[in-house]
Amino acid sequence: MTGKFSARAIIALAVAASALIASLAAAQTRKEAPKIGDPPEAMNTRLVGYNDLQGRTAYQPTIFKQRGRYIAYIGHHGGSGEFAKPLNTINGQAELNGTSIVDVTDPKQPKYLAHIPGAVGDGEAGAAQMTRVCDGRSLGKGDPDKVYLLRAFGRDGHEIWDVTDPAKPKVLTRLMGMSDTHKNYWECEGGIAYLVSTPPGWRARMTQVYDLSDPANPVKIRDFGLVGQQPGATGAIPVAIHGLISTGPKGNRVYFAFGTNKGGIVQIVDRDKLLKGPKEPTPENLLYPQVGRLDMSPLYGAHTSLPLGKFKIPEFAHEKEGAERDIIMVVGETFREECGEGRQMAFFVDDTVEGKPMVVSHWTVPEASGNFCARGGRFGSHSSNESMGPPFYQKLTFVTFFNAGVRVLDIRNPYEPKEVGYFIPSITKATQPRCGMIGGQQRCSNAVIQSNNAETDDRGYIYLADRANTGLHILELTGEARAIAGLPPL
Amino acid sequence: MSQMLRMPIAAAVFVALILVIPAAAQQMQKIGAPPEASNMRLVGYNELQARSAYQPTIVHQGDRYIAYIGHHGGSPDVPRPINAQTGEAEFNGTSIVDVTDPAHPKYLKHIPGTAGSGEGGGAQMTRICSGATLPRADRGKFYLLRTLGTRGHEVWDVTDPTKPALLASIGGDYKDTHKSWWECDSGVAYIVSAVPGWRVNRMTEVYDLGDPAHPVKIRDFGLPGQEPGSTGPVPTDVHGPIPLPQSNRIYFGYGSSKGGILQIVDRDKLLHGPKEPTPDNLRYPEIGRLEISPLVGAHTAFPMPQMPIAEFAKDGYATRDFVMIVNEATQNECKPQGREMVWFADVTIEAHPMIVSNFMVHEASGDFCSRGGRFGAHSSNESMAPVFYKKLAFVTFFNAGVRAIDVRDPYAPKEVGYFIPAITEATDKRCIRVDGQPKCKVAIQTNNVETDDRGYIYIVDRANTGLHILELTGAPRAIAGLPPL
Repeated sequence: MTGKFSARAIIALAVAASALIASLAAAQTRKEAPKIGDPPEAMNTRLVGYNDLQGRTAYQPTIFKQRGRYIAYIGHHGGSGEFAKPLNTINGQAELNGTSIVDVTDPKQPKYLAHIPGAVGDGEAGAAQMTRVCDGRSLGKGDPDKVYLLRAFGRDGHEIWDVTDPAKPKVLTRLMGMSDTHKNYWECEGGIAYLVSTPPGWRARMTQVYDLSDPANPVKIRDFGLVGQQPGATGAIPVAIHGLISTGPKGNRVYFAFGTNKGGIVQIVDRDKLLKGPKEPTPENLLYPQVGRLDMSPLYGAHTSLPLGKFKIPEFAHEKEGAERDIIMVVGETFREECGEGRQMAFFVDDTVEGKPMVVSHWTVPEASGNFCARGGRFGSHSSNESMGPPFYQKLTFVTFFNAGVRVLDIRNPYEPKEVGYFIPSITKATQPRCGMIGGQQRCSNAVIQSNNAETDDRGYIYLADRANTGLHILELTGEARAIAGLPPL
Repeated sequence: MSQMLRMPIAAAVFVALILVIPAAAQQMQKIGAPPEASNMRLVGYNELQARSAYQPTIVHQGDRYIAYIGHHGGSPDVPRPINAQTGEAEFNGTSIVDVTDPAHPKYLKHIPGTAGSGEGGGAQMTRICSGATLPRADRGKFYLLRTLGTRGHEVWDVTDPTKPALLASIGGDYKDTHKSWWECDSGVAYIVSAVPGWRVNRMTEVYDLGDPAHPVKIRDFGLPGQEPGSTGPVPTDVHGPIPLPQSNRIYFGYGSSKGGILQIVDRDKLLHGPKEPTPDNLRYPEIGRLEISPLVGAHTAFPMPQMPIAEFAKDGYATRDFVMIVNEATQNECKPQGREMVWFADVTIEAHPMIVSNFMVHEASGDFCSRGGRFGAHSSNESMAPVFYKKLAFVTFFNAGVRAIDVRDPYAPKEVGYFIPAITEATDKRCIRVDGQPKCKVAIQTNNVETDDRGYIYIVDRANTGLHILELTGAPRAIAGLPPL
């Protein structure tokens, strides 16, 4: 029976209602584990729109402006057990988790366009968790009218899809034969791509550098990693790469994050030397492009190393030297449920003297503010938004903290980062408990939000993807956080 | 000269005791203005003969508390201030002050130092041990280990602090000395010297001063690349060590204001390992090292092990080990230098220390870059007496006075009080060059701080203002477990 109200309208109504409830209810974080029906917990943020992403466990959202539309490409982890092949409601097929494509031009009414199935495999072993999107014009040698999606394909390798019509994606290129993949980066200006991979012979996950300026014809440039990871090396194997962020030809720096949740290393690399230096993976050649390196305490990992660039810090305004600093935000990932490991958090690194980075401060959610260790699931940092453009760059960053949602940090003085907002989405029936070895027992934790990854767009919307199958939440800032971003009042 | 100053100084102290400005949003200091303070107040004062002061060490000596205060050399204008007790002009050396009644400190004696301005002369360092704790000393005696300018070190018998007697000398023709440490239980002393042949002017000589009258050299120590015969770039010179013998560790800070290195050393291996200064032998005792930054020095490396962190109570690794690193400001009026502050390093995994947080004074809170002289961190108290240890730390910030920091969670240090003394007629000017011309201002330059086991805080001024004895007031007293006033 077709009612007067479409499913979309009902969802929009529910979102509006929950936003109203959220604004009326205490904005403060609650102290008990959330129940279905509880409003979200929020401060200086509010829900704008929502999509259930077909109940698929979600990882990297990338928001791309194409032909006047904003399209979100969301990578997924593999489902497991009864969730291995959720139903794709668009075509009625049960499909392995892959990539969701959602039109978010109207963030209040996101429209699910397509699902591209991924690889077989549970969790990070399968699916297609990473997404990067570029258009042919900026790549240089692609079709200038086309838009391309670079994604990981399970652990096997990488694919490029033609997503010019985001509702009808078409595969273009496949680079397979790997034994692991992770958080790639694709420079849209010029097309250089850094594919996190483990090709045969390498002793740890590493980076294959490719020229994907013509996505139909990938050209390998070189392999790269830490000395000790290359084929033929002996001794202890340095910790594996998690991902990287490049500042492209203009910034000429690539920031590699190794270690994920322990033994974190941040490596700052000269892009020119990386691309043009001698390619054979000898120790000398692998060290040649390195500008600097930060070895963290083994208690902390480096999942994301986001260059915040150079900016003037008002506190140092009267210093003749050191008023302008070059800062990197490093976020570690939490692996274990219910606080079963050392707390992972966000660190701020001063790299002003190139080659000599130093940690200057950190930030974490105060555990007691929401009794997060007891709520269930993971609590601790994971990832941050990676956009380096307006309206948020060098003012606010968005860091996910699993069951503590996404946190909005004022980083204008990175020596004293401050939280100015947060959003912990409501759980739904789709939210799945975390199961595994928890506190020494094989059991399941409560079903709680597991805010996994966040991204932002140039309009100021924040996109939050849930690892526990709850879906995609689109947020906007309110109050003081909005003012810091320089966004017009609502 | 000091008699003429006594009246205005007494008046200033009187004013200071009754009138205190709680919020420091002031511009340059003026003579006659009261001190700026929050949760700290002045208990007692001594002008220290208007000598530029460095390390205060407070000792419970018999039934008295005696402060031994090292001085920098004088200035080219006033190389030898008058000792009011003798009427003689004397090179700055060591002031000895009875502080048993902190409200009425009594200047006992001045032991002259050596010629040379600022850190080129004087006798800036002081450490005291009681013969009762030392292994082979006279049990009834008290001993002072001090630097003699940059030339060497001396051991004095200060059992009667009014009649100090020289017992032993080390060096005598060195190019530099600095912040030595003396372990009172073992007698081992780590003295900062410039042994000829070494490529730095500040390295570490390890001595057995178990019998203080007869120093016995154990070995030389430094970073590989500093030893005689090494080549290539020279690593940063040492500022001073702080040992924790009960944990078999020594924490070395290299580089006062730049190129800072924190080195964590196995004490046993340092004392008993092979002594010849080869690169391998110098590396052997090192457990971990943090090369901080070219912009940051490690003037003080103050260990705070085994601290339970409430924030991590439910995670793994709830107890952490820390080293508080203080970076020294060395330039006037914030030019040109990165801001100096306090850093907290998590050294729980000793081979990989990592800074996790910082503490700074906000410049705008007192317009400190415009007040004159240095602004920024210098030094911390080093006492590990239970009243303050691992609860509150006191750090000097030159023209921003001394700051009281709640360090119970070194991931989140918080300021809980401060004291910026009033200036007096004795306060010396500090100058910068503007278009080739000297431009001078007068401001307090709180240089060093120490605390005693009663809970008093002793700050000394580099700009000749003297010694201020303080106590906490208000809420921070509870942090220290001190009874309310």
